[in-house]
Amino acid sequence: MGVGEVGALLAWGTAVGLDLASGPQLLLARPLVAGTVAGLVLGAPASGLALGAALELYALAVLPVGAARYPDYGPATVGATLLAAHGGTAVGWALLLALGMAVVGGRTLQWLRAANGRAIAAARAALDAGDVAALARIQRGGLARDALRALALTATALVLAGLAARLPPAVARAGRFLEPALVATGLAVAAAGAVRVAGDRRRRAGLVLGAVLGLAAGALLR
Amino acid sequence: MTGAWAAFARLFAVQGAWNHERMQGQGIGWCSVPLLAGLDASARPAAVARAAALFNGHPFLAGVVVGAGARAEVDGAPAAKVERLRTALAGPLGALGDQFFWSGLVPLLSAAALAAVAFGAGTWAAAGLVVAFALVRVPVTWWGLRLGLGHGVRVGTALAASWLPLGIALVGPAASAAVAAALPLVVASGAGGVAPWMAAPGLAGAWLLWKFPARVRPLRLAFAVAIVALVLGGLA
Repeated sequence: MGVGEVGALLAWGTAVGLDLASGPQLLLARPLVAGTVAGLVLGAPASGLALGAALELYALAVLPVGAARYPDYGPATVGATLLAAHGGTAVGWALLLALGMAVVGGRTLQWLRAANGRAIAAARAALDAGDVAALARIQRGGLARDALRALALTATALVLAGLAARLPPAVARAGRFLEPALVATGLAVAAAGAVRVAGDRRRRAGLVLGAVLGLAAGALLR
Repeated sequence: MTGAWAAFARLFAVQGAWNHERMQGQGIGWCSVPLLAGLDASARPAAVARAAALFNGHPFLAGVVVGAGARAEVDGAPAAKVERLRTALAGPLGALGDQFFWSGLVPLLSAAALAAVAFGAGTWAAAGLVVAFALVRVPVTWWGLRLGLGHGVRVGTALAASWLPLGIALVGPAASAAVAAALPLVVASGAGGVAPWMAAPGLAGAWLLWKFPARVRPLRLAFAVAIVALVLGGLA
Protein backbone atom coordinates (compact mmCIF):
# COMPACT_ATOMS: atom_id res chain seq x y z
CA MET A 1 0.00 0.00 0.00
CA GLY A 2 1.46 3.34 -1.07
CA VAL A 3 1.50 6.70 0.65
CA GLY A 4 -1.26 7.92 -1.64
CA GLU A 5 -3.56 5.08 -0.63
CA VAL A 6 -2.85 5.65 3.07
CA GLY A 7 -3.59 9.34 2.66
CA ALA A 8 -6.79 8.63 0.74
CA LEU A 9 -7.99 6.16 3.38
CA LEU A 10 -7.21 8.61 6.19
CA ALA A 11 -9.06 11.38 4.36
CA TRP A 12 -12.01 9.12 3.64
CA GLY A 13 -12.13 7.83 7.22
CA THR A 14 -12.11 11.41 8.50
CA ALA A 15 -14.93 12.42 6.16
CA VAL A 16 -16.90 9.34 7.15
CA GLY A 17 -16.40 10.02 10.87
CA LEU A 18 -17.56 13.61 10.46
CA ASP A 19 -20.59 12.51 8.48
CA LEU A 20 -21.96 10.40 11.33
CA ALA A 21 -23.16 13.35 13.39
CA SER A 22 -21.29 16.58 12.71
CA GLY A 23 -22.12 16.81 9.02
CA PRO A 24 -23.17 16.65 6.28
CA GLN A 25 -24.99 13.48 7.39
CA LEU A 26 -25.47 12.01 3.92
CA LEU A 27 -25.05 8.35 4.95
CA LEU A 28 -21.36 8.34 4.04
CA ALA A 29 -20.84 6.88 7.52
CA ARG A 30 -22.91 3.79 6.73
CA PRO A 31 -20.60 0.75 6.66
CA LEU A 32 -21.80 -0.25 3.20
CA VAL A 33 -20.70 3.11 1.79
CA ALA A 34 -17.57 3.50 3.92
CA GLY A 35 -16.36 -0.02 3.11
CA THR A 36 -17.13 0.14 -0.58
CA VAL A 37 -15.22 3.38 -1.12
CA ALA A 38 -12.31 2.13 1.00
CA GLY A 39 -12.28 -1.03 -1.10
CA LEU A 40 -12.19 1.06 -4.27
CA VAL A 41 -9.22 3.02 -2.90
CA LEU A 42 -7.39 -0.24 -2.24
CA GLY A 43 -8.30 -1.74 -5.60
CA ALA A 44 -10.42 -4.37 -3.84
CA PRO A 45 -14.00 -3.12 -4.17
CA ALA A 46 -15.51 -6.57 -3.65
CA SER A 47 -13.76 -6.94 -0.28
CA GLY A 48 -14.88 -3.49 0.86
CA LEU A 49 -18.40 -4.18 -0.29
CA ALA A 50 -18.58 -7.56 1.48
CA LEU A 51 -17.21 -6.17 4.73
CA GLY A 52 -19.46 -3.11 4.52
CA ALA A 53 -22.55 -5.21 3.80
CA ALA A 54 -21.86 -7.46 6.80
CA LEU A 55 -21.39 -4.48 9.10
CA GLU A 56 -24.46 -2.78 7.62
CA LEU A 57 -26.52 -5.54 9.25
CA TYR A 58 -25.31 -4.35 12.65
CA ALA A 59 -25.82 -0.70 11.74
CA LEU A 60 -29.43 -1.43 10.74
CA ALA A 61 -30.32 -1.95 14.39
CA VAL A 62 -28.86 1.38 15.54
CA LEU A 63 -31.34 4.16 16.29
CA PRO A 64 -29.29 7.31 16.90
CA VAL A 65 -32.18 9.12 18.59
CA GLY A 66 -31.73 12.09 20.90
CA ALA A 67 -28.59 11.84 22.99
CA ALA A 68 -28.33 8.06 22.55
CA ARG A 69 -24.97 6.30 22.67
CA TYR A 70 -24.17 4.23 19.61
CA PRO A 71 -21.17 2.64 17.89
CA ASP A 72 -19.30 4.53 15.19
CA TYR A 73 -18.95 2.05 12.33
CA GLY A 74 -17.56 4.42 9.67
CA PRO A 75 -13.84 4.91 10.42
CA ALA A 76 -13.75 1.35 11.82
CA THR A 77 -14.99 -0.01 8.50
CA VAL A 78 -12.52 2.06 6.50
CA GLY A 79 -9.58 0.77 8.55
CA ALA A 80 -10.75 -2.83 8.62
CA THR A 81 -11.17 -2.89 4.83
CA LEU A 82 -7.37 -2.90 4.60
CA LEU A 83 -7.39 -6.26 6.38
CA ALA A 84 -10.42 -7.62 4.52
CA ALA A 85 -8.66 -6.94 1.21
CA HIS A 86 -6.32 -9.88 2.03
CA GLY A 87 -9.30 -12.24 1.61
CA GLY A 88 -9.69 -15.70 3.17
CA THR A 89 -9.76 -15.80 6.97
CA ALA A 90 -8.68 -12.14 7.06
CA VAL A 91 -12.28 -11.12 6.29
CA GLY A 92 -13.51 -12.61 9.57
CA TRP A 93 -10.71 -10.94 11.50
CA ALA A 94 -11.54 -7.67 9.73
CA LEU A 95 -15.15 -7.96 10.86
CA LEU A 96 -14.03 -8.50 14.44
CA LEU A 97 -11.63 -5.57 14.23
CA ALA A 98 -14.32 -3.30 12.81
CA LEU A 99 -16.82 -4.23 15.51
CA GLY A 100 -14.23 -3.58 18.22
CA MET A 101 -13.20 -0.26 16.70
CA ALA A 102 -16.87 0.72 16.34
CA VAL A 103 -17.24 0.36 20.11
CA VAL A 104 -14.13 2.48 20.65
CA GLY A 105 -15.52 5.00 18.17
CA GLY A 106 -18.75 5.19 20.14
CA ARG A 107 -16.77 5.96 23.30
CA THR A 108 -14.85 8.72 21.55
CA LEU A 109 -18.17 10.34 20.62
CA GLN A 110 -18.85 10.73 24.33
CA TRP A 111 -15.44 12.33 24.86
CA LEU A 112 -16.13 14.65 21.94
CA ARG A 113 -19.47 15.71 23.37
CA ALA A 114 -17.90 16.32 26.76
CA ALA A 115 -15.13 18.41 25.17
CA ASN A 116 -17.72 20.43 23.25
CA GLY A 117 -19.60 20.92 26.52
CA ARG A 118 -16.46 22.27 28.18
CA ALA A 119 -15.99 24.72 25.30
CA ILE A 120 -19.59 25.86 25.73
CA ALA A 121 -19.17 26.26 29.48
CA ALA A 122 -16.00 28.30 29.01
CA ALA A 123 -17.80 30.65 26.62
CA ARG A 124 -21.12 30.82 28.47
CA ALA A 125 -20.94 34.55 29.16
CA ALA A 126 -20.17 35.34 25.53
CA LEU A 127 -22.93 33.03 24.28
CA ASP A 128 -25.46 34.50 26.69
CA ALA A 129 -24.51 37.93 25.38
CA GLY A 130 -25.23 36.78 21.80
CA ASP A 131 -21.59 36.90 20.70
CA VAL A 132 -21.64 35.68 17.09
CA ALA A 133 -17.86 35.21 17.01
CA ALA A 134 -18.02 32.90 20.03
CA LEU A 135 -20.72 30.82 18.33
CA ALA A 136 -18.61 30.46 15.19
CA ARG A 137 -15.49 29.64 17.21
CA ILE A 138 -17.24 26.89 19.16
CA GLN A 139 -18.76 25.45 15.99
CA ARG A 140 -15.39 25.40 14.23
CA GLY A 141 -13.77 23.89 17.32
CA GLY A 142 -16.37 21.14 17.49
CA LEU A 143 -15.90 20.26 13.84
CA ALA A 144 -12.11 20.26 14.20
CA ARG A 145 -12.27 18.01 17.26
CA ASP A 146 -14.54 15.58 15.44
CA ALA A 147 -12.24 15.56 12.42
CA LEU A 148 -9.28 14.76 14.68
CA ARG A 149 -11.30 12.06 16.41
CA ALA A 150 -12.23 10.43 13.10
CA LEU A 151 -8.68 10.72 11.79
CA ALA A 152 -7.25 9.10 14.92
CA LEU A 153 -9.82 6.31 14.78
CA THR A 154 -9.09 5.60 11.13
CA ALA A 155 -5.34 5.65 11.72
CA THR A 156 -5.68 3.29 14.69
CA ALA A 157 -7.86 0.91 12.72
CA LEU A 158 -5.39 0.96 9.81
CA VAL A 159 -2.44 0.22 12.11
CA LEU A 160 -4.33 -2.64 13.78
CA ALA A 161 -5.38 -3.97 10.37
CA GLY A 162 -1.75 -3.89 9.25
CA LEU A 163 -0.67 -5.79 12.35
CA ALA A 164 -3.51 -8.31 12.02
CA ALA A 165 -2.47 -9.00 8.42
CA ARG A 166 0.80 -10.34 9.86
CA LEU A 167 -0.79 -12.80 12.28
CA PRO A 168 1.00 -16.17 12.47
CA PRO A 169 -0.69 -18.66 10.13
CA ALA A 170 -2.00 -20.81 12.98
CA VAL A 171 -3.67 -17.82 14.64
CA ALA A 172 -5.03 -16.56 11.32
CA ARG A 173 -6.53 -19.99 10.63
CA ALA A 174 -8.30 -19.95 14.00
CA GLY A 175 -10.47 -17.22 12.53
CA ARG A 176 -11.86 -19.49 9.81
CA PHE A 177 -15.36 -19.48 11.35
CA LEU A 178 -15.37 -15.79 12.29
CA GLU A 179 -16.89 -14.50 9.08
CA PRO A 180 -19.96 -16.78 8.91
CA ALA A 181 -20.47 -16.51 12.67
CA LEU A 182 -20.36 -12.71 12.68
CA VAL A 183 -22.47 -12.36 9.53
CA ALA A 184 -25.08 -14.70 11.05
CA THR A 185 -25.00 -12.64 14.25
CA GLY A 186 -25.42 -9.50 12.17
CA LEU A 187 -28.50 -11.01 10.56
CA ALA A 188 -29.88 -11.78 14.03
CA VAL A 189 -29.13 -8.22 15.18
CA ALA A 190 -30.86 -6.73 12.14
CA ALA A 191 -33.88 -9.04 12.53
CA ALA A 192 -34.26 -8.19 16.22
CA GLY A 193 -33.98 -4.49 15.44
CA ALA A 194 -36.64 -4.75 12.75
CA VAL A 195 -39.05 -6.53 15.09
CA ARG A 196 -38.38 -4.02 17.88
CA VAL A 197 -39.36 -0.98 15.82
CA ALA A 198 -42.40 -2.72 14.30
CA GLY A 199 -44.62 -1.47 17.10
CA ASP A 200 -47.86 -0.85 15.25
CA ARG A 201 -50.07 -3.05 13.11
CA ARG A 202 -49.01 -1.52 9.81
CA ARG A 203 -45.33 -2.05 10.50
CA ARG A 204 -45.93 -5.61 11.65
CA ALA A 205 -47.89 -6.26 8.45
CA GLY A 206 -44.98 -4.80 6.47
CA LEU A 207 -42.61 -7.08 8.33
CA VAL A 208 -44.61 -10.20 7.48
CA LEU A 209 -45.13 -9.17 3.86
CA GLY A 210 -41.45 -8.35 3.46
CA ALA A 211 -40.36 -11.66 4.98
CA VAL A 212 -42.62 -13.60 2.59
CA LEU A 213 -41.37 -11.66 -0.42
CA GLY A 214 -37.77 -11.96 0.71
CA LEU A 215 -38.02 -15.71 1.21
CA ALA A 216 -39.65 -16.14 -2.20
CA ALA A 217 -37.06 -13.97 -3.92
CA GLY A 218 -34.30 -15.71 -1.97
CA ALA A 219 -35.50 -19.07 -3.27
CA LEU A 220 -35.22 -17.70 -6.81
CA LEU A 221 -31.78 -16.29 -6.05
CA ARG A 222 -30.48 -19.68 -5.02
CA MET B 1 -35.76 36.96 4.34
CA THR B 2 -32.04 37.44 3.69
CA GLY B 3 -29.53 34.82 4.69
CA ALA B 4 -31.71 31.81 3.87
CA TRP B 5 -29.11 30.19 1.65
CA ALA B 6 -26.33 30.70 4.19
CA ALA B 7 -28.55 29.23 6.91
CA PHE B 8 -29.40 26.30 4.62
CA ALA B 9 -25.71 25.56 4.05
CA ARG B 10 -25.00 25.75 7.78
CA LEU B 11 -27.82 23.30 8.54
CA PHE B 12 -25.63 20.53 7.14
CA ALA B 13 -23.28 21.03 10.09
CA VAL B 14 -25.89 21.89 12.71
CA GLN B 15 -24.52 19.21 15.04
CA GLY B 16 -20.91 20.22 14.54
CA ALA B 17 -20.53 21.07 18.23
CA TRP B 18 -23.22 18.84 19.75
CA ASN B 19 -22.87 18.69 23.52
CA HIS B 20 -24.82 17.63 26.59
CA GLU B 21 -24.94 21.23 27.86
CA ARG B 22 -27.06 22.74 25.07
CA MET B 23 -27.39 19.74 22.76
CA GLN B 24 -28.21 21.12 19.28
CA GLY B 25 -28.76 24.62 20.66
CA GLN B 26 -25.26 25.85 19.82
CA GLY B 27 -25.67 24.69 16.23
CA ILE B 28 -29.17 26.13 15.94
CA GLY B 29 -27.80 29.48 17.07
CA TRP B 30 -24.95 29.29 14.57
CA CYS B 31 -27.36 28.44 11.72
CA SER B 32 -29.68 31.29 12.75
CA VAL B 33 -27.02 34.01 12.60
CA PRO B 34 -27.39 34.75 8.83
CA LEU B 35 -31.17 35.05 9.25
CA LEU B 36 -30.85 37.43 12.19
CA ALA B 37 -28.33 39.69 10.47
CA GLY B 38 -31.05 42.11 9.40
CA LEU B 39 -32.29 42.72 12.94
CA ASP B 40 -31.67 46.01 14.65
CA ALA B 41 -28.21 45.99 16.25
CA SER B 42 -29.71 46.48 19.70
CA ALA B 43 -32.07 43.48 19.34
CA ARG B 44 -29.68 41.10 17.58
CA PRO B 45 -27.49 39.91 20.48
CA ALA B 46 -30.48 38.84 22.58
CA ALA B 47 -32.05 37.08 19.57
CA VAL B 48 -28.80 35.22 18.84
CA ALA B 49 -28.50 34.21 22.50
CA ARG B 50 -32.07 32.84 22.49
CA ALA B 51 -31.39 30.92 19.29
CA ALA B 52 -28.30 29.30 20.86
CA ALA B 53 -30.08 28.16 24.04
CA LEU B 54 -30.68 24.49 24.89
CA PHE B 55 -32.52 22.67 22.12
CA ASN B 56 -32.72 19.15 20.78
CA GLY B 57 -34.92 17.96 17.95
CA HIS B 58 -33.92 16.13 14.81
CA PRO B 59 -30.92 17.39 12.82
CA PHE B 60 -32.63 17.00 9.45
CA LEU B 61 -35.63 19.05 10.60
CA ALA B 62 -33.55 21.66 12.43
CA GLY B 63 -34.39 24.12 9.67
CA VAL B 64 -37.93 24.30 11.03
CA VAL B 65 -36.85 25.76 14.36
CA VAL B 66 -34.09 27.85 12.78
CA GLY B 67 -36.55 29.39 10.32
CA ALA B 68 -39.47 29.75 12.72
CA GLY B 69 -37.31 31.25 15.45
CA ALA B 70 -35.72 33.76 13.07
CA ARG B 71 -39.09 34.70 11.59
CA ALA B 72 -40.54 35.24 15.06
CA GLU B 73 -37.60 37.45 16.02
CA VAL B 74 -37.86 39.49 12.82
CA ASP B 75 -41.62 39.87 13.35
CA GLY B 76 -40.90 41.27 16.80
CA ALA B 77 -42.45 38.46 18.82
CA PRO B 78 -41.85 38.79 22.59
CA ALA B 79 -38.86 36.87 23.93
CA ALA B 80 -41.07 34.63 26.06
CA LYS B 81 -43.08 33.63 22.99
CA VAL B 82 -39.93 32.74 21.04
CA GLU B 83 -38.73 30.63 23.94
CA ARG B 84 -42.12 28.87 24.18
CA LEU B 85 -41.99 28.20 20.44
CA ARG B 86 -38.62 26.49 20.79
CA THR B 87 -39.80 24.45 23.76
CA ALA B 88 -42.94 23.42 21.91
CA LEU B 89 -41.06 22.38 18.77
CA ALA B 90 -38.33 20.24 20.32
CA GLY B 91 -40.42 17.15 21.12
CA PRO B 92 -42.45 17.01 17.90
CA LEU B 93 -39.45 17.67 15.65
CA GLY B 94 -37.49 14.94 17.41
CA ALA B 95 -40.33 12.45 17.22
CA LEU B 96 -41.24 13.21 13.60
CA GLY B 97 -37.63 13.17 12.43
CA ASP B 98 -36.79 9.99 14.29
CA GLN B 99 -39.82 8.21 12.84
CA PHE B 100 -39.35 9.45 9.31
CA PHE B 101 -35.57 9.20 9.03
CA TRP B 102 -34.02 6.94 11.67
CA SER B 103 -36.67 4.23 11.83
CA GLY B 104 -38.08 4.82 8.34
CA LEU B 105 -36.10 6.13 5.43
CA VAL B 106 -32.60 5.10 6.58
CA PRO B 107 -33.42 1.41 7.23
CA LEU B 108 -35.59 1.36 4.09
CA LEU B 109 -32.75 2.54 1.85
CA SER B 110 -30.12 0.53 3.72
CA ALA B 111 -32.14 -2.66 3.34
CA ALA B 112 -32.78 -1.88 -0.32
CA ALA B 113 -29.03 -1.47 -0.81
CA LEU B 114 -28.34 -4.80 0.92
CA ALA B 115 -30.93 -6.47 -1.31
CA ALA B 116 -29.26 -4.87 -4.33
CA VAL B 117 -25.90 -6.27 -3.20
CA ALA B 118 -27.50 -9.71 -2.93
CA PHE B 119 -28.71 -9.36 -6.50
CA GLY B 120 -25.22 -8.45 -7.67
CA ALA B 121 -25.45 -4.66 -7.92
CA GLY B 122 -21.94 -4.38 -6.52
CA THR B 123 -20.58 -0.95 -5.72
CA TRP B 124 -23.60 0.69 -7.37
CA ALA B 125 -25.62 -0.33 -4.34
CA ALA B 126 -23.54 1.95 -2.11
CA ALA B 127 -23.74 4.80 -4.62
CA GLY B 128 -27.49 4.34 -4.90
CA LEU B 129 -27.87 4.44 -1.12
CA VAL B 130 -26.13 7.82 -0.86
CA VAL B 131 -27.84 9.36 -3.88
CA ALA B 132 -31.33 8.17 -2.93
CA PHE B 133 -30.91 9.45 0.60
CA ALA B 134 -29.54 12.81 -0.55
CA LEU B 135 -32.53 13.22 -2.87
CA VAL B 136 -34.73 13.27 0.22
CA ARG B 137 -32.48 14.69 2.91
CA VAL B 138 -31.37 17.82 1.03
CA PRO B 139 -34.84 18.95 -0.14
CA VAL B 140 -36.34 18.17 3.29
CA THR B 141 -33.71 20.37 4.93
CA TRP B 142 -34.62 23.23 2.59
CA TRP B 143 -38.36 22.57 3.02
CA GLY B 144 -38.04 22.68 6.82
CA LEU B 145 -36.23 26.00 6.69
CA ARG B 146 -38.81 27.49 4.31
CA LEU B 147 -41.68 26.15 6.43
CA GLY B 148 -40.25 27.82 9.52
CA LEU B 149 -39.50 31.07 7.74
CA GLY B 150 -42.97 31.13 6.21
CA HIS B 151 -44.99 30.40 9.32
CA GLY B 152 -42.99 31.69 12.28
CA VAL B 153 -44.75 31.06 15.59
CA ARG B 154 -47.55 29.17 13.78
CA VAL B 155 -45.16 26.60 12.33
CA GLY B 156 -46.54 23.84 14.57
CA THR B 157 -49.89 23.93 12.78
CA ALA B 158 -48.16 24.00 9.41
CA LEU B 159 -46.01 21.04 10.40
CA ALA B 160 -49.05 19.01 11.45
CA ALA B 161 -50.79 19.80 8.15
CA SER B 162 -47.71 19.03 6.05
CA TRP B 163 -46.79 15.85 4.14
CA LEU B 164 -44.64 14.63 7.03
CA PRO B 165 -47.25 12.65 9.03
CA LEU B 166 -48.36 10.89 5.84
CA GLY B 167 -44.73 10.30 4.91
CA ILE B 168 -44.16 8.62 8.27
CA ALA B 169 -47.27 6.47 7.83
CA LEU B 170 -45.94 5.25 4.49
CA VAL B 171 -42.21 4.96 5.10
CA GLY B 172 -42.47 3.06 8.40
CA PRO B 173 -44.22 -0.05 7.04
CA ALA B 174 -42.10 0.16 3.88
CA ALA B 175 -38.94 0.10 6.02
CA SER B 176 -40.15 -2.91 7.97
CA ALA B 177 -40.98 -4.72 4.75
CA ALA B 178 -37.64 -3.84 3.17
CA VAL B 179 -35.58 -5.06 6.12
CA ALA B 180 -37.61 -8.26 6.41
CA ALA B 181 -37.18 -8.87 2.68
CA ALA B 182 -33.47 -8.06 2.59
CA LEU B 183 -32.37 -10.49 5.31
CA PRO B 184 -33.41 -13.72 3.50
CA LEU B 185 -31.81 -12.32 0.35
CA VAL B 186 -28.51 -11.79 2.17
CA VAL B 187 -28.66 -15.43 3.33
CA ALA B 188 -29.60 -16.66 -0.12
CA SER B 189 -26.74 -14.78 -1.72
CA GLY B 190 -24.34 -16.80 0.41
CA ALA B 191 -22.78 -13.67 1.91
CA GLY B 192 -20.04 -14.42 4.40
CA GLY B 193 -20.43 -18.17 3.99
CA VAL B 194 -23.61 -18.19 6.05
CA ALA B 195 -25.14 -21.65 5.84
CA PRO B 196 -28.85 -22.55 6.10
CA TRP B 197 -28.20 -24.53 9.33
CA MET B 198 -27.28 -21.24 11.00
CA ALA B 199 -30.93 -20.17 10.80
CA ALA B 200 -31.80 -21.87 14.09
CA PRO B 201 -29.06 -20.31 16.25
CA GLY B 202 -29.55 -17.05 14.34
CA LEU B 203 -33.25 -16.94 15.17
CA ALA B 204 -32.45 -17.83 18.77
CA GLY B 205 -30.01 -14.92 18.89
CA ALA B 206 -32.59 -12.58 17.37
CA TRP B 207 -35.14 -13.69 19.95
CA LEU B 208 -32.68 -13.04 22.79
CA LEU B 209 -31.87 -9.60 21.43
CA TRP B 210 -35.52 -8.74 21.03
CA LYS B 211 -36.72 -10.21 24.32
CA PHE B 212 -33.91 -8.96 26.56
CA PRO B 213 -32.66 -5.74 24.94
CA ALA B 214 -31.17 -4.42 28.17
CA ARG B 215 -29.19 -7.58 28.93
CA VAL B 216 -28.30 -8.91 25.49
CA ARG B 217 -26.61 -6.11 23.56
CA PRO B 218 -25.85 -6.61 19.86
CA LEU B 219 -22.11 -6.10 20.04
CA ARG B 220 -21.69 -8.04 23.27
CA LEU B 221 -23.46 -10.95 21.58
CA ALA B 222 -21.19 -10.55 18.56
CA PHE B 223 -18.06 -10.66 20.71
CA ALA B 224 -19.34 -13.72 22.59
CA VAL B 225 -20.06 -15.46 19.28
CA ALA B 226 -16.62 -14.45 18.00
CA ILE B 227 -14.94 -16.06 21.01
CA VAL B 228 -16.83 -19.31 20.41
CA ALA B 229 -15.95 -19.17 16.70
CA LEU B 230 -12.27 -18.61 17.49
CA VAL B 231 -12.19 -21.50 19.93
CA LEU B 232 -13.88 -23.79 17.41
CA GLY B 233 -11.58 -22.52 14.67
CA GLY B 234 -8.55 -23.20 16.80
CA LEU B 235 -9.70 -26.73 17.59
CA ALA B 236 -10.72 -27.64 14.05
